Amino acid sequence: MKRLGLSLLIILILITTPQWAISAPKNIKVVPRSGTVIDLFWQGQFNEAYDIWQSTDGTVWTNIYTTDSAQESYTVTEGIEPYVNYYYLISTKDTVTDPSMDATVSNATYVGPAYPPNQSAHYFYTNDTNLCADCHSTHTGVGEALLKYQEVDALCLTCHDGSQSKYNVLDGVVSRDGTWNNPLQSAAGAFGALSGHTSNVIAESLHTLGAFPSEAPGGNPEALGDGLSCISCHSAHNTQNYRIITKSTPENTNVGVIGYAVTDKVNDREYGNYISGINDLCSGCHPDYLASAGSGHEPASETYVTDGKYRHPVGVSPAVYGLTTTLPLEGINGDNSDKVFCLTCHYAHGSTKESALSDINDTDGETAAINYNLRRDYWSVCQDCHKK
Amino acid sequence: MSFNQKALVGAITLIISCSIITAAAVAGGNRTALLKQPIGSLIAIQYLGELVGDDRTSMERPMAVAVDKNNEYIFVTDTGRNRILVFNLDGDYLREFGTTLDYPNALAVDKQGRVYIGEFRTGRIHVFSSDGSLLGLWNSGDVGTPLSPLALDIENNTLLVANRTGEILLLSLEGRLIRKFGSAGNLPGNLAYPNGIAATDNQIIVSDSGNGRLQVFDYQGNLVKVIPRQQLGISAPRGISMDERGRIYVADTLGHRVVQMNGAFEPINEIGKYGLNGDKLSFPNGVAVSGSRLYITDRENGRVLVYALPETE
Repeated sequence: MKRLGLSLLIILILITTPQWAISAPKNIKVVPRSGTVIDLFWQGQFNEAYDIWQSTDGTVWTNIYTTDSAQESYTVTEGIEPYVNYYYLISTKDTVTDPSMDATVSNATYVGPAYPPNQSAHYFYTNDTNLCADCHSTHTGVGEALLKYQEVDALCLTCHDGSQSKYNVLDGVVSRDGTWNNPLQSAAGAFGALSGHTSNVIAESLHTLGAFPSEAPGGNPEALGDGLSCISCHSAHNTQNYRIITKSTPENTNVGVIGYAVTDKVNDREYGNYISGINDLCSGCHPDYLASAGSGHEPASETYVTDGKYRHPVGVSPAVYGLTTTLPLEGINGDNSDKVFCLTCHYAHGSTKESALSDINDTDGETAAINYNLRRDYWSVCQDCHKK
Repeated sequence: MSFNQKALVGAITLIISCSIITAAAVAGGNRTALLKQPIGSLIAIQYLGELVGDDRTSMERPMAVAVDKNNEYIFVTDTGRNRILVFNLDGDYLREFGTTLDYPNALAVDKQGRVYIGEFRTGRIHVFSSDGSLLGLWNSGDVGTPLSPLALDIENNTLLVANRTGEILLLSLEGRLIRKFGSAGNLPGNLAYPNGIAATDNQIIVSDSGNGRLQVFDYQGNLVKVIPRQQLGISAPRGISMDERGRIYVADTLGHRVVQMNGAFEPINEIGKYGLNGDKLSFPNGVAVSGSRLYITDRENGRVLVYALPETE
């Protein structure tokens, strides 16, 4: 009887224990040692052997190595180019055949991007927890979340003015080789000259730091809270996605973005390969703009804005309507069957493109701000798909 | 002096053996004769006051500060306003120059009083006379290697450039590349965003900001010493300078303080803590020591703080 009970218990454990708990490696760290060498570390589970996958775009993944069961580190010494983004996924041996399709499977662990030769404080504080104390004070914080200071954006711009990161968010550029000679254009656009900074770039429209979420078009007019900040959209910590996108917004506490920032030195740019989740992020402040298919013909249902508005849908495929576009879409197909999403027409940070004229039919101030962050001058984003 | 909390408090406490005369500047107050050297011998570092801008406008995000070799003029990169501000040692604003500058972030002055201004974002070095006449302008093509200066210093008639590429460039004062060493990475001898550099006649100390450590090289580029993060206690060291006694001053930008170390790189004091006025700091970046004065660019508060240094440790 005892033996039967034990057997049942084992079966029960096998049935109820998630697959990841017995196979996925834990605590993966990816540490660029130089421009051409990257170290990977992990904690193996139950003597599993693992396949190590590498990608620069999230679409094409290469199985670069298979470990033995006792191995908990690997050094990538071949095929690494400085100032190119690399992504890694470690899966239980022989269980994943194509990470672009299987990246979220439970027996694999995805690692954030590596930026050889640079390390990123956003990923490597776990290597040295002294870094925690740079920003947080256990008992004497002066800001929320035990922060040592109040100027969060000043912290971000300490590095992201370009002096300690390859990402200069002011000019909206990415260093291609450690200098600013012929930099790549950033996928997120440019903020331009934020207060206290200068920039070669004039942002015609931008997500203004310090603005209040209650001012967001399509958002909750009664919403209060801190002004828009870098951490409104990004986490300082590793959120297991390509751009440390936050997992929580005022309207959505379950944001799960999957995407990749692709280094494209040939075309002088870094572009996003977006898989899913961006609309969840944007709708954190603009919930009523999360309009579904048909909202251009029937008024969309509204939460905060006056009912009766017709809105361009997101989450629809141009191909369904016989349309094509050169603008970015969200999905894994890489063609016009992928979905229209917020970044199809808009930059996340700011845009140098000429702003469209204010919506003259606007009667409630919903779109009066003309902060459209458009990817094309005026309304030519419309033409890119509709070709009227 | 041991490095403990009590010492830290003591270090910024005004203790003078004889009498004290301080004239701490107050923004909006009289901007002449701001800084008065204390009478008598200091036994601890003393806050003297602040430099806040010209007659009309305050500084925006000042990144670097330097004093000429004759100890007459204080030069500040008013980075956010694309200009250089010049003060005398009393703290009087004298003039500004640099209409062609674009986010100037690094600064050094040679024995002839020529002012070298580095811009990492444009990859340029401007050379000005002390009165602001443009004498030279170098870019990557002129120097013959990618130029992206994060920090500058001058020693041995050599302009030392801490380059964003992870290299240290040794240039003649005419802009000719003499030597370069280092590369991006985190192994000993590699550098990641070196945002500070200070040299003696035989050693070059570099703030290896991205790796959270200091590294010491000789002029041939040989690695002499690594002061790791665990010993340094600073995650992202930036501006660095040395006094005549060989004591080293490093800006702990994220810690909102400047750490004073002895010649063995052992912390012996810290100056400042987070705050928005007075002797408090918010993201200090540049450090300069000249004579018995310490200058710190208080970046987010838009000013330069000035301290008097004691004769003894």
